[in-house]
Amino acid sequence: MIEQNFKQYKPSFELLDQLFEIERKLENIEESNSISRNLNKMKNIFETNLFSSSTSSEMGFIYHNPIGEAYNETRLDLEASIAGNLTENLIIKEVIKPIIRYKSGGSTLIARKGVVVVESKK
Amino acid sequence: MENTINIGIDLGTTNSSIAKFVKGDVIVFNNPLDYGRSTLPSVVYYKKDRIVVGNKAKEYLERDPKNVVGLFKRKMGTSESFQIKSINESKTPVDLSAQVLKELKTFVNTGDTLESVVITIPASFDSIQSNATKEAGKQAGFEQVVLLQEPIAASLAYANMKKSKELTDGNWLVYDLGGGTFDVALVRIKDGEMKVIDHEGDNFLGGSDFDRLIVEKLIIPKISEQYTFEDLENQMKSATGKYNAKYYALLNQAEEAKIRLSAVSSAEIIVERMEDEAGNDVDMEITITKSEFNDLIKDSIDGTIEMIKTILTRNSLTSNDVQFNLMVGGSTFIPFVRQRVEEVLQIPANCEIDPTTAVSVGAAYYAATKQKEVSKEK
Repeated sequence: MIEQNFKQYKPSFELLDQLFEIERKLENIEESNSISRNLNKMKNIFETNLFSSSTSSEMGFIYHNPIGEAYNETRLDLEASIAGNLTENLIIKEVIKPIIRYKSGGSTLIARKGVVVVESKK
Repeated sequence: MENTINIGIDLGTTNSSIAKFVKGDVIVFNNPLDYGRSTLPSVVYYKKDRIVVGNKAKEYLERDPKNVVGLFKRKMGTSESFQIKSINESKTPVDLSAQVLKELKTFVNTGDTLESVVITIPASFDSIQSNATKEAGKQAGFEQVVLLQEPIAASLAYANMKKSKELTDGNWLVYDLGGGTFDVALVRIKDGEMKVIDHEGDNFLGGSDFDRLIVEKLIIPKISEQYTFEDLENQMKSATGKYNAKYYALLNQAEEAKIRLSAVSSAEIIVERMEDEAGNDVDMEITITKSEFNDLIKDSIDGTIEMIKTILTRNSLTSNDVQFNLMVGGSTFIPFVRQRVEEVLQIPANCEIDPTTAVSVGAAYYAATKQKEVSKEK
């Protein structure tokens, strides 16, 4: 289900996009462990602490990188552009923005769609 | 049961929307499958086993043209039909419009039985095209279909927002620059009756052209200047090109930059995760200024101004005879569009209504004045 009332969290989503970019860049750096530790702590804050209060259950946002996943028109968690000239067996080739999910108690909602470029698996 | 129609639909060339008049106000329904948006791309995708309408269909439009159809409104009222490969059938513009209308019905979450509707049509539609639109409405399950011209609908949205007090006898323009099309109409009100006097348009001009201009005229030259590529533009734009995926990623960023430039004086586009032909990693932060963007779209906007001048000349009017220019369509959010049109024509640009939903809102106001005429037997 796609939740429609997350507009107020746009600045938080922009921060999560930046964390996603940092994480992606870290993949190309050797010995990135110490930076990864800080990054994971920040992700954890978004997931569990930032929006929770003493009276409410744990709630927060997590992002998901769908790179390499299969794509078709039933995926409502993504906005895609199709590259190449085929439309069968599409996979996600480039992630412009990750999917952001909202977690509260045991349930999860899509807070913001991911933006991707897909291409047929050759 | 309500006695008036109350439901208004903007059946657009590029995007459509649906609104309802409720107790003196109008609500525009959100697209339940598209996170907070109230518009539905007017695109239909035929799969073997089902029909997909809207954003997901639009994603496949360029790449699967044998199964996906858009811009069919341009063919309303003609004998042309679209051969659909997946189902081995042909579909008329009426069939396709009916699919869009059916999908819009799913937006309505108020439990209404949708038997009657007001659907908007371009000012340029003749009686054959109008009848085709009515037929699409019937095919979508509406028993009663009332048509309303789009510029009149936009004007009604404005008049209702102003509670009609400021609309005196005279002329105004409705300047509608959307995602893919442009229309301008001269509207006249006399003794309380609103009429479209004249109109012009360009079926191939809209906001998506501006995104392409940013990529092709600003970003690609800047990348090519700094890195080694042979014919980067072709490698990006061609479906078989090495950088075709990157082209779509940049178009996406260009659209965001365009939106940001409405509020700030410059916007950055980051180009990375790409290697040039000499094996260097591309890593660039390209700044696009508002003035660069304005220069880029100036010719297109001036083209729209020429159309207005044609209308004025044809009707022996001067700018002084026109009260205001009502701005409609998402691309009129761009400040330069408003400024340029106002500056050249010396007609005040009126930006008081929401340009993306004005037509369906106006249609809903009109619907509230029309009696339902449906058979009681069900």
